[in-house]
Amino acid sequence: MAGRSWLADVLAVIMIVTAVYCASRLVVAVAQRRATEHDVDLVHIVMGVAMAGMLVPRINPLWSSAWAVVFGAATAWFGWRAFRGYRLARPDRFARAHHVPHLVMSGAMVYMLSAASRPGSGAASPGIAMGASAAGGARFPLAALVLAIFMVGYVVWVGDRLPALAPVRAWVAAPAMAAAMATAAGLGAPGLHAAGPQVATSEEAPARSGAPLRAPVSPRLAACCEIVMGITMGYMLILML
Amino acid sequence: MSDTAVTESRAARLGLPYRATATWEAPDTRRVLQLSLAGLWLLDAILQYQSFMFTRAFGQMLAASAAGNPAVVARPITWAARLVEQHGSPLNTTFATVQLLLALGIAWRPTLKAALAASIAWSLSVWWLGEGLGGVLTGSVSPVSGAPGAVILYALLAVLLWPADRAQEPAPFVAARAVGARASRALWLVLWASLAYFSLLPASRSGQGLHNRISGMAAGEPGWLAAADKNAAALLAQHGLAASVALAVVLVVIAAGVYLPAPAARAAIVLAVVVAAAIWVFGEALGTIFTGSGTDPDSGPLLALLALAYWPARAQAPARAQAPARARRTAQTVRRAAQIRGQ
Repeated sequence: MAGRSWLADVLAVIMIVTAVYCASRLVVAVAQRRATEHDVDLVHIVMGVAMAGMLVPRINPLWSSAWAVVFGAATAWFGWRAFRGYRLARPDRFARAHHVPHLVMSGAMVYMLSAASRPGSGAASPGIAMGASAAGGARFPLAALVLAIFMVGYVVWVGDRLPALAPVRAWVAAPAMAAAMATAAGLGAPGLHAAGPQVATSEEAPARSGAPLRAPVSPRLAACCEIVMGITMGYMLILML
Repeated sequence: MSDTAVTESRAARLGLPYRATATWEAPDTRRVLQLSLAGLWLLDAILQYQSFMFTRAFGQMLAASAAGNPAVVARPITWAARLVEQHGSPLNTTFATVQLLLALGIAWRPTLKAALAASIAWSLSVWWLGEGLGGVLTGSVSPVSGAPGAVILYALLAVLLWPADRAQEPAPFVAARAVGARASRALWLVLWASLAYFSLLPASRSGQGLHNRISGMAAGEPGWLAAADKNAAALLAQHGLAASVALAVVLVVIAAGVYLPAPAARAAIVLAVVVAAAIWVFGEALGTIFTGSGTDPDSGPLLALLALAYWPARAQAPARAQAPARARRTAQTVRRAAQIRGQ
């Protein structure tokens, strides 16, 4: 890849750790019957492994075309979730847009995989990917810049809203309050997603469904995963220029 | 009752950890600008992690900024550049990580003040040791090529967006909230008037001065950006003096704009944003980000961000008057939560 190899190694380790953590979130959610955003965590697992493989090609377990199919499916899924959010959610712009960042991140993965595996770059095999810039730049570099700027904006947006996410003990004490604050901050509330039939983050959903609000699996750490992945993806996109 | 008091009392009734859940407020205009500043720092950090910055060429680039400066300024630059050449990897990692921490510190509210203060100190040191004071003492700088240096604008923004309010006077725009209207207008005037002065320096106003600066930016850029630069340069060929004078007049108008009534001030701010965008695209080639050797997005986005901080507030709605609206929003959120809890 075009960046420093030790830096790529470090970022790859961080991505693997993030993926493992997201896998543990799913396990904890099932074992303790706590809420989490299953689709987001699942995509983070796959994304962490894929990004680690792009940064350090020798640990890439799949072909780039296979990854592209996986993230194409993820893009379609989050596109559907975002569309439903806009159609069904209450007029809360942040709640409606809750899945848009995941949509863009999945789309960015498709872009990176396809731009890096263009003909002649020798990138169609496992162990590609970020070499595109070394080979003379990716296709559509402006798209890479726009996506990188989006990642930067998303990271600071999540960072700003991090204090609004109550720690788990606050959820245990007063879940409705914690959920309302998280919803007001536009970060979503995993407990609500799991408990209610509504899309996005309507705080009325659990009340309607009658399901009790459970403390979700650490919303703050979930947001930290978003930050780490956003920074790493921004770095990878800049390398594509 | 203040917004904080409303929130705190309701949160206390609900038995919640107040700090954890009830103090978050939706970002106001100043906070949005602070977050934009954090975003620029983050982009800086990511660019600083690029491969080029770990090479000796980065140190050589820093050393070049010493040229033309007085010895007292140039000597520390040369020393620092040599240090970076010799220990590029650890030093550049430190630089990039500091910028990353500044970005995250500004984005995370509990560390906002510390991060802004640190960013001022960092910016001033980089302005000297990394940018040679933006070349302002060399007599060969131009606003088109990024004078007075992008990094000093980070420091200026940190000062103007400092999270404090002067109690005595309502702020006519965001930049005035921390330092007051008079001081913030003076800072604006000094900045844009100095840009006008730089555009009239001999190196800028010579027949081919602007042409050479702009056409020189095309190398290594994608085709569309190189073509834009070359076309702009072709338009200015042999018209350096006229273009420099015209640019200086525009910059003076912008400098005086914040002293005008609100409608005219808004027009001046729009003009400032347009000029900043033109400088960024044609004079700075988007900070040469596409070449792999751009250390930051350059001064264009920062000038635009600065201009937005001077956008006149609506009449009868000074910054301090926004507090009750925010209080209502926060109180509504808390009330909704209480209703849900009661169901």
